[in-house]
Amino acid sequence: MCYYNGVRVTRAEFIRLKQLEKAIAKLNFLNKPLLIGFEYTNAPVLKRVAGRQDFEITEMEWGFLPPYLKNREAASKFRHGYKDDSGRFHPPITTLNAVGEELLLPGKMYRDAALHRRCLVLSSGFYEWRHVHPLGKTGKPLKTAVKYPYHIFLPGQEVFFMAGIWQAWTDKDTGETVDTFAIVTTAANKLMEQVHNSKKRMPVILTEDLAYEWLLGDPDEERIKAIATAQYAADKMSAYPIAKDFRSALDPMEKVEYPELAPLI
Amino acid sequence: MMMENLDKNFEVLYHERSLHVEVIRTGKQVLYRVMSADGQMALFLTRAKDAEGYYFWTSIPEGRQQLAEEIGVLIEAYIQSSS
Repeated sequence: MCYYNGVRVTRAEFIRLKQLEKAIAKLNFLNKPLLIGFEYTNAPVLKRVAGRQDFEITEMEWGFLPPYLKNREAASKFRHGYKDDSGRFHPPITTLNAVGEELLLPGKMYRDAALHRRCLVLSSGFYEWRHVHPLGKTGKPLKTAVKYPYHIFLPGQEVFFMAGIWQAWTDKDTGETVDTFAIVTTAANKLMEQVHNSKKRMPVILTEDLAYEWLLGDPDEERIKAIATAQYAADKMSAYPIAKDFRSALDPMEKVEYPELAPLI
Repeated sequence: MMMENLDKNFEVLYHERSLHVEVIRTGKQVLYRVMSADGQMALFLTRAKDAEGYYFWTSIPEGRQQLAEEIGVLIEAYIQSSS
């Protein structure tokens, strides 16, 4: 006999319920093959249930919002930038990603979340741009790069975990409260160095053991930093080019051949 | 395992809060995705059978049993009243 949610069930029923857990993890991806960060959309996230060794699957708004932002107007200015009364432009602050190496630095916006509100972002794959500088008439690379989007995934793993941190945010005008999150990033591995070759960064992809520790463990600061900068093995990842207009494509994950594009090594 | 959203969504009232319930069928199994209007509540529920053969409501994944039982009763009442 087994227990599920504290109720005694047969082993067969227990297995069925566990299979449903896996099916739920895939649900959002079957309906939504592409999440675009700059649309500040909702995404499926695993969040710890306060005070318990348990988690729930919930949806959070992608784009970490610090609590000091008073309302949606302030949040929009924060995310998109704005001109003040004197005409001076204040550039946007992008909080879709949080740099793993800097998470715990004193005074950092993400420090408290990294210590107390870590989460797992469910992903079935992600997208990055490879910058290629074609040769000009002089034989030297042109300054302007041609950008090729790539779909990156883990072969054999339909769904995997990215390290995230979250922050509840309240619009003080309306009382609306939402959970917002950022994906933690680290230095690119050998594969991602070639794909995301402009910034050489990648999301922190966690193995099941590290995912458990990140979400439900009690890591000290040193350990949090170690997990937040973990680099997933390049030989367990794969990438292929996709259509340049993939954001509006019916199947954004469809492979596209570019004859001029050198293959990844 | 493929999932299919059915066009049978409905609302239930839980402690004066309106909860949106989405019915999802996966194979022969039915899941209920419960969302509050403010996005604060998002959980999956299903009916399971205990070791004695009696049905009970449970959250997927584990951990929200009380909520599952309370909201499950409301879902059951809605389904019975509309069938």
